[in-house]
Amino acid sequence: MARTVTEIHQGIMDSIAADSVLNAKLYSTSKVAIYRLFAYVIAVAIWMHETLFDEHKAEVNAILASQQTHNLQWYANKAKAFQYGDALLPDLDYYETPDVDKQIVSHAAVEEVNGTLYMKVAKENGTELAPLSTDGPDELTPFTEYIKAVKDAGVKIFVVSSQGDDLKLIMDVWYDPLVIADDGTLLSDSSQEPAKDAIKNYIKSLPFNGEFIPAHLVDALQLTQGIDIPVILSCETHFGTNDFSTVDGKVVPNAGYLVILDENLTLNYRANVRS
Amino acid sequence: MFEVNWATVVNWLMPPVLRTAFNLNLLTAFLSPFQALYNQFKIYRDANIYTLNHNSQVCYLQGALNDAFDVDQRRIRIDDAGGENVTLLNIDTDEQPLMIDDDGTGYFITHNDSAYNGGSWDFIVVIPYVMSSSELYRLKALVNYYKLAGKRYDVIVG
Repeated sequence: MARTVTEIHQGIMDSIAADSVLNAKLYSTSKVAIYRLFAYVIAVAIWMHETLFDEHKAEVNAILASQQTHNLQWYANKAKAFQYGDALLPDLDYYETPDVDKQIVSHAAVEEVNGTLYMKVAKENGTELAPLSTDGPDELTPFTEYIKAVKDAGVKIFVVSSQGDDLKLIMDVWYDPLVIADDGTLLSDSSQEPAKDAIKNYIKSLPFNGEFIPAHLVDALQLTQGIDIPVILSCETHFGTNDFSTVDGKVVPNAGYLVILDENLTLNYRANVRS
Repeated sequence: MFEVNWATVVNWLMPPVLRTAFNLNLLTAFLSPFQALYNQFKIYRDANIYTLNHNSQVCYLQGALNDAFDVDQRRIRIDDAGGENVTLLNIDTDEQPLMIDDDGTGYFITHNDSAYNGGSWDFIVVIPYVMSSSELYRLKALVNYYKLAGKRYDVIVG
């Protein structure tokens, strides 16, 4: 901690007063005694240095505090900071003005496989997730170039931005005939199909790059009004051009998220009546 | 904050009646060691801030290397290693002569080892001209200082 000018000055004055040679001549109590003024100037110079050292220490600590470990989360945050259409400041890893509207990557997750980072990213298209487009306009190339500049030298990153993994679901749905019609729509409002809506909402509400667990989907369906017994007969996913493969208890989508198309959703409605 | 004009400091601290050339010059002489200390501190501070603001990220590492070796044209860049696949042409034991370019089929391009997949490099520092060995040592020391521990690199002229 820097001392005050007065403290330093008093220290010099005390040394003079304590010295038998000096105090014989320098004993004036005048505020503007020349020896007092000279000592004061020296005190100011010392005080300035002490203050500057303190400032520098604070400044270094502030920079250190703001530095983050470059872990997986840091890479995910960097992906989200990408601004489409802006250039990075020269030799720096950020933009001149952060602009939320240009930050097109809404979801990012980074995984480590065999020393390579797989960066899964998606943007929001209305309420649906969508991959970064590759043409008209090309969003993926600028993003990849941005990652190349901000990543650590030597870290291998593979950017994954593709259509969500397709989910193919075949279910038996035992419904309450007092609430639901035999085509699955609500008796009170034929525009709603509770089972289908619940499945779509559940898939949409999954965290990005989170696990899809069919058993939890059944739990969610059971909470839906009018659905008594949801039974999953078959649950398969596929990524890209791969074949559909059966979900073994749980699955993390390769693209980070799932989509279910109407043609992949087969619901067999069965009335829950005792025969 | 960190800029100090010592002549002004001396001037301000003396009461106007005592601002004689003798007094001011004497004080300036008294303060000259402080001034030297201050200048050293400033250099030290700038170096600290510079070091703290650079790290192993490609953009910062590239910036640090260009600041040190190619201030004006900034041609040093950092590339990923790998990308090219090794094509096996012929193995030694075949003892077959092999023509790799018959002038009829176009070009035959070979790369440095580090450009091939599965090599022992993680990134490549591309420098614009052939450096003297002392310069190269300085460059490597700088890269080693900033790079992530465990990452391997090659320096090539490109």
